[in-house]
Amino acid sequence: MLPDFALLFIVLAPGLAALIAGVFQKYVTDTGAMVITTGTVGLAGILSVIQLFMFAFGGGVVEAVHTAAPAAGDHGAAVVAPVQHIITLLTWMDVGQFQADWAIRVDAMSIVMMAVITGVSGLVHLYSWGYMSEDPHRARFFAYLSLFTFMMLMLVTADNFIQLFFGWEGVGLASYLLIGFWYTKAAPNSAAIKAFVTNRVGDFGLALGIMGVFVVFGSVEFEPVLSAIRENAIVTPLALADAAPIRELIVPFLGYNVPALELIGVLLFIGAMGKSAQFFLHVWLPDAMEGPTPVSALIHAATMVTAGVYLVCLVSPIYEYAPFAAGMVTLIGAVTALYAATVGMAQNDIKRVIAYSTCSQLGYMFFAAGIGAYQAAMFHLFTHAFFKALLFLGAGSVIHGMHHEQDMRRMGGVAKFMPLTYAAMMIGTIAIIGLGIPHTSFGFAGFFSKDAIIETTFAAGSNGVSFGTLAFIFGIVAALLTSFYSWRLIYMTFHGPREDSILPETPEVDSHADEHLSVDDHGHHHDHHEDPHESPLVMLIPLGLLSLGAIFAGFVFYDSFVGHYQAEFWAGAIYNAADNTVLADKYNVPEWVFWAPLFVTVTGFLIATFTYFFNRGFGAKIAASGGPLHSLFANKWYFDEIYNATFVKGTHWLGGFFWKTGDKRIIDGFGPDGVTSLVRWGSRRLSAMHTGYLYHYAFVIILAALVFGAVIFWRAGGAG
Amino acid sequence: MLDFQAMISAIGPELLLALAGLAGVLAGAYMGDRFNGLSFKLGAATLLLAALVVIMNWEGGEAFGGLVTTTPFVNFAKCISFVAGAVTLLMAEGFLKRHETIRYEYPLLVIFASLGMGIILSASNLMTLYMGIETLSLSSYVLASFHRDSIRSSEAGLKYFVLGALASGILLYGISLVYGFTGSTDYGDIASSERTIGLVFGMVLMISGMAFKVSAAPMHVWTPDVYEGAPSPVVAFFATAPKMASMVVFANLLFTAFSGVFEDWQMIIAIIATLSMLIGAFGALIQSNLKRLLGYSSIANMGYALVAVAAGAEYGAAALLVFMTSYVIASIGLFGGVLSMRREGGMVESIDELAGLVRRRTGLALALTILVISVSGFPLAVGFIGKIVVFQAGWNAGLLPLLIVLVLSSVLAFGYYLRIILVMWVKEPVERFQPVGSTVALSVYAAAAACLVLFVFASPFLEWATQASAGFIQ
Repeated sequence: MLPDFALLFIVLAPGLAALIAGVFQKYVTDTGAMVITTGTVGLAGILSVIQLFMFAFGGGVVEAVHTAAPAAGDHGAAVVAPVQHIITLLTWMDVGQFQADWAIRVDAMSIVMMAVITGVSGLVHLYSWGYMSEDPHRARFFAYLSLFTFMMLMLVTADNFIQLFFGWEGVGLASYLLIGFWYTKAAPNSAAIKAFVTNRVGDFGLALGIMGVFVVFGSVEFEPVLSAIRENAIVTPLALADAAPIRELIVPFLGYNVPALELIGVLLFIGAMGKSAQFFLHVWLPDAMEGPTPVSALIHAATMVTAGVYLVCLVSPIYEYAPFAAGMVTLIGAVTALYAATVGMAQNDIKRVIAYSTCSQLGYMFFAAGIGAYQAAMFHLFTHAFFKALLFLGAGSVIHGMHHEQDMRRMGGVAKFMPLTYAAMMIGTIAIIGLGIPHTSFGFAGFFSKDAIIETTFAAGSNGVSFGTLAFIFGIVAALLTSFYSWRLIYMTFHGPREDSILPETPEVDSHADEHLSVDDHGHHHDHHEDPHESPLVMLIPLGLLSLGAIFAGFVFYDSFVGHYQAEFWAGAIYNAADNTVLADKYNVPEWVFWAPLFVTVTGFLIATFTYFFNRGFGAKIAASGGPLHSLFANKWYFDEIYNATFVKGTHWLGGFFWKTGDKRIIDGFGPDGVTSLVRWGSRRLSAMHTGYLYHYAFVIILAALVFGAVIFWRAGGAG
Repeated sequence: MLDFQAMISAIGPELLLALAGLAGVLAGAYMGDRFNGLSFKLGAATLLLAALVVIMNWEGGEAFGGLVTTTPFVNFAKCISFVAGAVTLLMAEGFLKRHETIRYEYPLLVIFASLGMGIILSASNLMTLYMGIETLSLSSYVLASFHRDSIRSSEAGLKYFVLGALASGILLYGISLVYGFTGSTDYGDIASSERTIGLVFGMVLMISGMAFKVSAAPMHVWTPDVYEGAPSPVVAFFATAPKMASMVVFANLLFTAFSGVFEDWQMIIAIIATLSMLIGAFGALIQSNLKRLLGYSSIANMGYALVAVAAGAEYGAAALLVFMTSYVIASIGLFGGVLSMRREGGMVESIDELAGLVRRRTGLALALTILVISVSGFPLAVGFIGKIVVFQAGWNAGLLPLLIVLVLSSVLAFGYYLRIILVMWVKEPVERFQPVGSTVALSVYAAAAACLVLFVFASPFLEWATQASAGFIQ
């Protein structure tokens, strides 16, 4: 592992850079802010990647595992204390048993996340030099980016739930600020608010989950909580129930008696659903594409949206002993994977296609975690970060080259103008569809991780894990759709003639695309007939480096993450119960399971090639015919409409009721307004008594003296 | 010889003021207008010197065979009154000079008024008390109409005089009844005499008369008119030094001479306090003239002070001193603010004239904000301490209904105090004020600073007041 000061630098320097760039932007200028933030985050990225390689291949950690836990070899069957190094910075809260520190926790989980976060963030910082070069508020943008990086690092290096929650909310804030970065326009603002509000729903669950953890375990620190579950220790809840072994502990909740671990598992997963845009709470992610494209790549593809997956994997002991909660994770994940893939097929905005693809891939990660293959989920998280960031940045490059055009129907034939971007997008596409030859080492990153998920899921289904088979089927179908929409994106954007004349320029066809035209108000003179141009070098270097990751990350790290050395690599940071053997069983699935993903991927490729390459216009014809299935997909299964009709309208009505009737009429009417008018009335009456006439005054004085005398006589009762 | 020394220590300050006043009359007669400028400085110096003499004879003593008795309790009030008199005198100079009414009679009248305050505070006999009150009142009537060319000032003086005479009559009638039923005018003898209906009725009339002097409701009727009509420096004086003195005399009288009929006067005082608090709060709410508003504010504040009086000597004495001191400090500053409101073409007095003061005169606006916060009894300034000790006194004495009125009227009072702050901080600025004399500005800043300092270092202040009132605690 790296020395402490390097770890401190990785975690804290981005925060400091954000502070400098944000607060002192007047003094450091735009360029200064860009250099400071990019420099620190880039250096942190290099250090983190070195750390990851050292950790995976250095050998030192393996020794540590063997000395710490000799039985670590057989898939976590024994109780393994995680190998971790905690740097405690400060005491944050110390109230009775409620103790939380500011700390940096270094273990396999956080090392993987640190590498992903700072690595991608560094590249996105660099990319933004080119992408945001015409924006007048670059210092603010880079400050937000670095703030996000810092908050995300706080989240993944927390050693307690409270710091995790701090980071969780911090990334939510940074996400809100960056989605609404172009705050002068309506669409980014409402998208930012939508993201924030939707995440509140999830965060409510997370907060309740953390409270539940505290009540049940009497601690909010990870290690005491998780080791209690691993050892099935007897815990004494602070309230609600008597002491019992944790796995059998029953607590009352809303009038029902539920197992404590199930309750906590479900609540924490609700938090994860919000942050990771899972089914029901996914509605904010596509709209979040209103933010600048580098933001979409960093936050809404590679890092923040994977925080939910990270959380579920981090508390793996809970889900190992909470079959219902784990089943819910599997089901929601599988449904999301399929749902988002169907919607992705019918979108025309290049970024929305990739956004739904992100949603879908997150679904893969969740159902992998749900069936107990946390390692596979983390592996897919890891590889996905590379190729999804690559796809977003590639799309950003196209958008940049096309003068902020995002509608794929107005693109086409871009390949010959932007060959390097085209190559990068091809690599990203091949990686996301998971092309590779089974039983060999030939394959892109997505092949290794996605196939690992599909195989473990099949194994889980055979072992009788709930929803395992369903997840396997959904995963296969989603893989077919993924291949289709990914190639559709490539064909519509890069191949064929330049057809910006397919659509009329009138905004009513797709008002959404039109909103983006106004981005041009700084610099670019909007002109559809100008040819696209290749992006500058600062944007191409990140594409190149991410391409390397998208090609090799799977092959290089397969054995460490999910292969034969996974137990040594994770070193107890992920826990599998003794009866959870899916990771070993994935080698023993029937032969067709290995080949099924390749088969559906090629099928999807052929369909896309048929409809969008050889018969260009066929897809548009389907869209124009307006069949019910296409309408359903194109309108995202009407989720926005349903939510608008129920939650938004309902809340609005309720708010209006409380405001107009409850507050204005009842509370204000009888309270402040009523009292105020009474007081004013009294005040005026009193002033009217001040006539200014001396004899009135004298009368008042004498009358008062007499009244006082009368009072005394009445009181004295004839004492004299 | 010993007797003489004891006498000096009891009436030293009054002796000093009387001699200085007479010397001033002589000097004025000889020097004429040349004495005008000098007289203000000398008058203030005399008052400060008198305050010093008070401090030197802190423990007090007896003189004139029991006609005069001083205690630390009254000496505390004397000290504050004399200093307040000196400060308001210095603030008056610039104002009077600009209005071309600077005359050496002004400081002499202030000195004689202060002499009256000294006498009533020292009084331990009803005759001494009446003599002092008349000395104070007569000086006050003349001061109120000091701008004799101004019809408003003359009206104010006349109203004050006629109503004051009425109140004096009521007071004197009360004194005669008390004398008639107890056979003595000495505080101690009255206290030890039997409770008779005549004594109690006489006491009620005396309370009515004294309530007029402290402008407590319903004998407050003169206050708004006089505050609005009289020259601003005179009002600044009225609102501070005589208020402090009269209120403490009022308390001293009730605490000593009428300690035997505590239940009787407590009830009357409670009624007066309630009325004062409510009328002060309601009345101020719709005022647009700052001086008139401060008049109502002073009525309300006298109501709060009377809550401390109603709490009785044991609980209320120290609280009264603390509250009155904090009120006097804030009032000096606020009237300094009124004196600063000068534009091309003369003084302005409307609250709206303060609009946007924070952007035109930031320091002044800040100081006035602190003073308003203090007088409204909000934390961070000494007014809060004053109000909380009064509340505590009332609580200890079990005066729950009074405390409810106190809290409600304080809330109501925020309505108009906050309006002043709002106007200064939020409204669009109007024309800048003309610069004023450095003494006025200094007084405003010093008062604001004192409000903050005494809040932070409240405990020595409280301890001082508690020690001064120790004589009332058996």
